[in-house]
Formats: sequence, structure tokens, C-alpha cells
Amino acid sequence: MPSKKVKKPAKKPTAAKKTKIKKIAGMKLKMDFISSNVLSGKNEKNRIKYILDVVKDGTILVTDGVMDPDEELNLIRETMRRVDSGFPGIEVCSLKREVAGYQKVLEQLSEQTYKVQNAFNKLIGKNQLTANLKYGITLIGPSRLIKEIKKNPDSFSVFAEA
Amino acid sequence: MVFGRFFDWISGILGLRRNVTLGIYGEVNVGKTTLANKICMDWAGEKMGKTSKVPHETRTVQRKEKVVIPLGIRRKLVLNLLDMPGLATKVDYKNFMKYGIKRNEAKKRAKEATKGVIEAIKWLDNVDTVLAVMDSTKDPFTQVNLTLLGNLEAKGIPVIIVANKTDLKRSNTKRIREAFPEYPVVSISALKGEGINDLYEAIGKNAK
Repeated sequence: MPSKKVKKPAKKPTAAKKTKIKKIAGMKLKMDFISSNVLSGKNEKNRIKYILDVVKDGTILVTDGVMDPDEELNLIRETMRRVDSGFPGIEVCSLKREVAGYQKVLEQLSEQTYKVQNAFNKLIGKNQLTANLKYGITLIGPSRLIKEIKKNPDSFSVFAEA
Repeated sequence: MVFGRFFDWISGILGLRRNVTLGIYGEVNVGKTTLANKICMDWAGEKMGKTSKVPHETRTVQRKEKVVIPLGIRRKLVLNLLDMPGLATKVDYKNFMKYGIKRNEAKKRAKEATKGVIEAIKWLDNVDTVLAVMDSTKDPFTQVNLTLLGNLEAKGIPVIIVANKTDLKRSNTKRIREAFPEYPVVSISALKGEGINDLYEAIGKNAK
């Protein structure tokens, strides 16, 4: 007796899947991609203020540069000063591009020049200069939107939800 | 008292005694206070601070002076031990409410926690050596860890990475060693005391 081919009914989407689809459909996230030139033109105080003003407004900021570790700490410090019940803080992730050859020499030279200039400015009572952004990429966003960042040495994944 | 100070001075000159301000840094809930308590119990006979599962339990810098660790027969290391509030880029009062803390109390705790983070950052200019504590059950590649290590490197402050919580099943200290191969990494369980002698050895070797 020949076997009958029974056509399986198409699977109905589960409740969990439906919810997920709904969430994605209703999600609104604003991301600003800005050139590092926008930040490089500002001193450290104004740079941090700019970043936090944008992020506190609910925008995820992506830029093609990486901050100095000292400036990153100052960003954390300033964030803590601004934390309130509506703004719990930020999520930051950066990937520094390792440079080699003449680019590395230029970067080191720039760092040394910046240090010497700042030491001299300190001596004569002038304002401190802001270090240039390093090669790489940085993402900064409000922690109420960015739920998780998974980072590897050469990549990172961002999980956000509005 | 004068004689004691003179003796300390002579010991310092002869290299028999080293005074080091040791800061215990790291993210929130990685076991910094548990470690500080273990060190204090071992060498000073008393605990340093209160521990809790609720994040940001340590919200002000805890200090314990003259914790003496013997290094060999005559030499000794005198620690000015600083247990820092956990570093974080966010402090959400709603997280505290998950632990049964009431809204107003949670908001107050959050405010204190933000001040604690600022204080911990400020103290980075005053420490000689840092124990960077990491939770070995979690991903070490966090921005807070990277920022902390980047800063210590820029300031030339010696750092020992402490891969804590080895007593837990999900502990993976290899991941930390692979993530930061350029730093000395010591695996410990501050709670159970496993590996603590290796840490004292590393402090004696690296603290400046």
C-alpha cells in the first residue's frame, strides 16, 4: 500500500515570537554618527558636555575616534554628577585601532608634544590642551536604552531597546 | 614614639620596610570588600567593611592603615589599604529596589553611590599600587576595566589583576589571563581564601 504524504500544517508563530516582532516594530532609537572633527575642535570640558547633552537626550552617539583613558575617566566622573532618577548613566564602548609604522610614530609624537605643551601651559598658568582622539571607534549611549554590550578585542555587539 | 619613627626611617633606608598605599579597585560586586576583609583579617585581625549582594554597598573609601605583611625573615611591607567604591558608568536606583529597598532609600543610595564613584576616581592620583579585582565568572572585556587599566598604565602605577570568585562553578580565570596578557594575574577566592598566599607574594613582588 503506497504511503500517503501528509502535509504538515504551517507552524503558527508562538506568543513569544509575536511579542518580539511587536517590540521591534515599535522600537525607535536615534543614533548620531558624527565625525571625530566635531569633537576634536572642542576642549575636554566642552567635548564631555557635548557628549552628555546628546546622550542624556536619548541619542546613541557613534564617532570615529577614541578618547584618552584620562578623558574617559573624566567622562565617567561627569556622568556621575549628572545621574538622576531619569538618567541612570551611560554605556560606553570603544575599539582602538592599533596603528603601525609612521602612523604610530605620528601618534606618539603627538602625545609627547601634547604632554610637553600642557606641562609648559601649567607652568605659565595657561589653559590645558585637549588630547587628540586616537584612531578607532566609540559608541556612547544612555544606559536606559543600551541593555548590554558584548565586547571582544576586535568587535562589539550592542543590544538596545527603546 | 620618636624612637619608633627613627627606627621606621632606618628600616626604610635599609630596605627592610616598604610603605605602600594599595588601592583595591574594580567594578561593582566583584568582591573588593571581601578581599579587603580577608587581607585585614589575616594581618590586622579585624574586618574592614560590610559586604552585601546589593550593589554599591561600599559608597565611601574605606581606609586601614599600617597593615603589615612580612616578606621573608626581616623585610616587611606596610600597607595603607584603601577599599574603593565600585566603578561604574551607570547607577540606577531601580536596581536597588529589586533587593527590597524602598524608593526613597534607593534614590538616596544611588546618590551616595555616584559620589563614591567620583571619590574612587579622585583617589587614583594617590595610590602607589592597585589591585584590579575582576569577577572571574563574568566577561572581563568591559569598558570600566579597560579604562581603569589604561589610566593606571598612563600614570605608571603598578597593577595586579585579581581574578576573584574562583570558588564558583562558572569561574573562568583563563579568559582574564588571555584578555590582559601584559599584566600579572592572580586567581583567588577572597571568600574561601584560596590562592591568597599567591596574591601576597605578587603584592610583595610588584608593589612600589
